[in-house]
Amino acid sequence: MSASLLFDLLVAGGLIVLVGLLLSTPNRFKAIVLFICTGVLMSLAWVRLDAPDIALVEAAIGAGLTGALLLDTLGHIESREESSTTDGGGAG
Amino acid sequence: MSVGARVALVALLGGLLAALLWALSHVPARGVGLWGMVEPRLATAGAENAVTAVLLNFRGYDTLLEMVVLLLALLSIWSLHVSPLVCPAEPAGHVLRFGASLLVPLMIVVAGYLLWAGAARAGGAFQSGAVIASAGILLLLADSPVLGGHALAVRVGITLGVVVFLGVGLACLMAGYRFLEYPSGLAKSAIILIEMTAAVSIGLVLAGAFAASRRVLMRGYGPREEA
Repeated sequence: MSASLLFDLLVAGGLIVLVGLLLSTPNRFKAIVLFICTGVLMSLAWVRLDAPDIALVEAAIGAGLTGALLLDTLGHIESREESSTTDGGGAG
Repeated sequence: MSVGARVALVALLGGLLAALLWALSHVPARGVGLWGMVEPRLATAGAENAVTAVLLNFRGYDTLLEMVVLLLALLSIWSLHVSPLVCPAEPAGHVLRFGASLLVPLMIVVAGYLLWAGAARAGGAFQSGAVIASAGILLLLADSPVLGGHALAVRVGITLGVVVFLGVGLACLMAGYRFLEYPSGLAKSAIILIEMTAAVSIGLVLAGAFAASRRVLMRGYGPREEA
């Protein structure tokens, strides 16, 4: 088994494992972090597929920008949930 | 979901997996796609990188539409007037501000390199714009304004990519060619002009989408109210 084949199998297997973890976790923050990791690994996969342009965009936008936007949204959702539970009192 | 439905779903997905694996085993080792059509025309396309040539010359119209879509998405996000304004809970610490002051100039240089290298290697306007957007986000998180006080700078910066792209296309029309059909010999200059403005615009649009409001993009997050 050549080194490049081993590397490809590692990247592919890692992607599947990461996505499985990402979809099965109930913690939103953990899911977003796993999403960013999946984006980074995906950009490695694009390099192995001889598509360096797509790899650059995947790393910058898929992992970086989308991750930042998701974390922003998470903060917004959680602050709104916090304020609604303090306002709603026992009504929950 | 009942047991029978689950079994049927697993069988269906297993069949789909088998079909995909069979199809994968028949894919040729080297892609045969469009290379045969692109390569003969690459010399006159204005860029040596096939991806850049396709994106900005052969399929330039698609790229123009993509940039319009980005601009529309930004305008939609800004028109939501997100409230209360999303911002980090605490002001940026010293480490973040110092790190940003080191990293942002580097990121601008990297973006410029990616833009220039896009002609012959991997790179191009979108990659460069993405790095500029990341620099903008880092500036925002480090409690620094991105564009300063002038609303005109924001408006010009965001629309410049689309306007220049359209302008080049219309100039081709007025010179007697078809829309976005660059005159021979001017393809390289047209691509460089479009790419430079597109990179700046894409960076500002994506950073503005993160900032979620024009005021934040111009002046940063500003002082926090005590919770």
